[in-house]
Amino acid sequence: MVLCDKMLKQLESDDPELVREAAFKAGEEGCESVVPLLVGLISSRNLGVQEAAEYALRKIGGAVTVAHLVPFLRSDDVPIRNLAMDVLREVGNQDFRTLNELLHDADDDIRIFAADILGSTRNVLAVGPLCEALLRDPEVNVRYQAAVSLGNLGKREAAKCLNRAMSDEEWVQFAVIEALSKIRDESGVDALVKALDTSSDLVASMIVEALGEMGNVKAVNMLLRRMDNSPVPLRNKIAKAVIKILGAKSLALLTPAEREKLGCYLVASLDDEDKEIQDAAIQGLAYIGDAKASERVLMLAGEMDLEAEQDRQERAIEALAAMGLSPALEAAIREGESWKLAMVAVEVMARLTGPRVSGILMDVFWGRERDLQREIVRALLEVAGPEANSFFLDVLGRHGDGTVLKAALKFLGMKTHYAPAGEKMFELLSHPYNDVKEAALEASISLGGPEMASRFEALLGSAVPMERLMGVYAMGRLGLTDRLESLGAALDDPVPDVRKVALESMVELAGTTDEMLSLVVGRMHDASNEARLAVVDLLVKWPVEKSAPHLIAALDDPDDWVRIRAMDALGTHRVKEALEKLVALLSSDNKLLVLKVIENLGEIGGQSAFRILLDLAHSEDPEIQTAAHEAVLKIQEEGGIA
Amino acid sequence: MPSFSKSISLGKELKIADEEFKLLRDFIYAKSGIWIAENRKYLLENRLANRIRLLNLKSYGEYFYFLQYDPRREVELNRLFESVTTNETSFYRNPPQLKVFQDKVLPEIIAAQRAAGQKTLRFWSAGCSTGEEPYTLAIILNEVLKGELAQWNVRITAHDLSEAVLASAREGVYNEYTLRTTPRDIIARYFIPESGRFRLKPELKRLVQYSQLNLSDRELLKRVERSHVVFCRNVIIYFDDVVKRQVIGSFYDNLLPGGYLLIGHSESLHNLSRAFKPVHHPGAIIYRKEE
Repeated sequence: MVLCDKMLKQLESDDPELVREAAFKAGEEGCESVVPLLVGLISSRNLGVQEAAEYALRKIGGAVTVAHLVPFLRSDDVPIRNLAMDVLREVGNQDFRTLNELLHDADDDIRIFAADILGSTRNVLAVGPLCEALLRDPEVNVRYQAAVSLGNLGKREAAKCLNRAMSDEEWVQFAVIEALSKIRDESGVDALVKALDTSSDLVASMIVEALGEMGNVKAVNMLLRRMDNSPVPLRNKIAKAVIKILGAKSLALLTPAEREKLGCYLVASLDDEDKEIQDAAIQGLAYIGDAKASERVLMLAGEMDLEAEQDRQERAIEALAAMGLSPALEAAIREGESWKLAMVAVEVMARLTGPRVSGILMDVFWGRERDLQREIVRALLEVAGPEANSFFLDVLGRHGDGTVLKAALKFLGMKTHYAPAGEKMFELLSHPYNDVKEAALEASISLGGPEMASRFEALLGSAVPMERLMGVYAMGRLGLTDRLESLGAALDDPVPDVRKVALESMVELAGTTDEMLSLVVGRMHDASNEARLAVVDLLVKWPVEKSAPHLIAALDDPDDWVRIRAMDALGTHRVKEALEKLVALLSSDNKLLVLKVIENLGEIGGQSAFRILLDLAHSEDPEIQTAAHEAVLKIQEEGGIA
Repeated sequence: MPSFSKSISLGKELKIADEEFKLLRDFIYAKSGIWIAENRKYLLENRLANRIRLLNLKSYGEYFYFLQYDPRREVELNRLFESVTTNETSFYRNPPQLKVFQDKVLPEIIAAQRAAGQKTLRFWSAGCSTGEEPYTLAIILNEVLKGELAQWNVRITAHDLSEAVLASAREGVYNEYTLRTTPRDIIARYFIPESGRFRLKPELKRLVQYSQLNLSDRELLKRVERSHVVFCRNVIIYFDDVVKRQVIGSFYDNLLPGGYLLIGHSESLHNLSRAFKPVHHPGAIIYRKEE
């Protein structure tokens, strides 16, 4: 209140900056006492002050704001009147009675404004007064606005009066149709279908669109009947409405004659300028389209803007794939006259199957430019089988593009496991691009075999760290248990990543034996914290009775993240022996460490942990308090402290 | 599968869980006002995956904790800000707008200052990235005032969220790409070639004062010296409408009466503020705070 009084005073200042500040604050505080002053300020010539006053009025709202703004609806100053209306649209609901009364004002304009504002109130109580205005007001623009507002409200209660208003003059009909399509009441469908036969082309066009939006199957027969006798633009709209209502899949339920007729109309509607009509046609043709339809959809997809119409093009491609391999698709890729068309055709072929498709793609590959080649190999990865092995081997040998090479590696290594490609794959491990190297490594591992294993083993002695790294990694992945010893030497590699991966590979090969445990524990003091982190992650693989002492020892590690991983593992296995060391860590400067200790005390449970947590629940630090509460709760939920 | 190495990762792609996305999204919003919509989740995932790998963390959830509690969190916060903003900029970006600044705005302000017997000019580059924008303003000021510049008290205050980009801005050395829309004669006059790069002349660097600032911090914005012109181009796109309104309101309050706000060519104050008067020029709309 004191603040509101202060703002009241400040709002009377001559300094616009002080007034602006006061208005913002009054708005934040919801000071109703300043509303009369704020209302005066919305006609301030200073736009900054005006904006602040408007903001505050919207925030404060209430009957007092409505009452003070209503007189502005009679203002001749249009921007101010519009501003008042806009605020009333937001807060008008807070004084419904005043707005209702305005619907009976003698001034037509005031009744229009009132109908407009009532449409924004989101209140079902506005339906009655607006319906009355729609059916009885002598002024056509009031009736029009009432229909618009009923649509904006979107309440089913308005359907009955809107249906009746379909017999009003055309101007009102427009608003009524739109309102009915928003409300989607079943009775509205009947009223619109009934009006279709007697309407002008313009109104009929709106009705068709509305029926499409409403999606009620009752309208389909009437719409199909109307197609033959409609002018082209209306027929296209009907085609779109039918697809919207039935969904493309249900077109199969139409009789063959109806499907054929609709198919022809859909192909014709691809020429319509309205992209929504084109899209509906594409969607429908996916299920009932023939070779001719495929050709026309392909042309259209090729004309689409790759950046702005990506989604549309994707839907067209889906439809073309559903229609299957057509002469138009083959011609687009073989003749290659249009780069865009060829790209679309390749994209479609990637979704088809059969040797004929892969044959066409391999046939044209070398004669196309790089970007199209990339798409072709991507498509072949999807559709081709062993018939493409020699093609891809050839690509590995003589292509220079990283993307193409990666696709070839994936195909030969992972898809067909083509052994003759092994040597070439391995050569690509020294490719200058990391992503190609990675693909070559993955393909080589996937191919496997003794020859490949020897190649990788030889890498362990390489002078290049990256090669040694690849060697130790692959040895683990290849499962070569008989070559464990050759990996042992890598544990002393000068590069931490090599040591880390060698250790992981050895555990992968040898499994969780006692000997291996000693080896892993022996690396707990590695100079690299990443190698030590790997040690903790590996220890978890052993049964807890074997790993626990070492995990507890890891709580002394100088690196906080090594400690965190170790305590997470100890918490998961509820190792009570870790409590003492965990409690000692509560004095750490690293809050994350402290929170993790608390969380894991909750996991471990037991009386000691419970008592410590109860103490922590009274910490002055709210985060520690919350964490302790949650941990206590966890112990209680899991059977108390016994 | 273990992470293979930092240069090559054969590990599975790290996926951000919905809950982790919400935690990080809200954290970023609270710290910077930058709002990452649900449909840009992939962007956060892509840009932070590398940070997570480099920090040897296991998940986005661990990264969230790292940002809150790890002793290195302050440094990491800057890395995070750099990851979620693009910092795409260049000298003489949006030439039509700068032409309006050079030919209309600046002469008008200079004339008004002269008429008032004052020789002070203040500009604010809010979201200055690596310095191309404030230095462009410095160049334009030099072009307009020429030898007279030394007699004027000029200051360009430049702010950015990221300390790393500010360090680069202070250095003032640029590659050819960032000068791609700069007239050749301007490059010749204001830059010193330096082994394939271009160093801005020190007399221009002196006009600009850099510091780190979070535009969503309303109280800090109140402390910025009042300006004749505020440049905030391609920055508010990162904010949601609430923060946008708040930031634009702060610019309004900062501007001296008759001052101008210049925003990015694809940005608009529509639905954000009615306080400014839009002034239409060929190729550019600029916003004036009326006197």
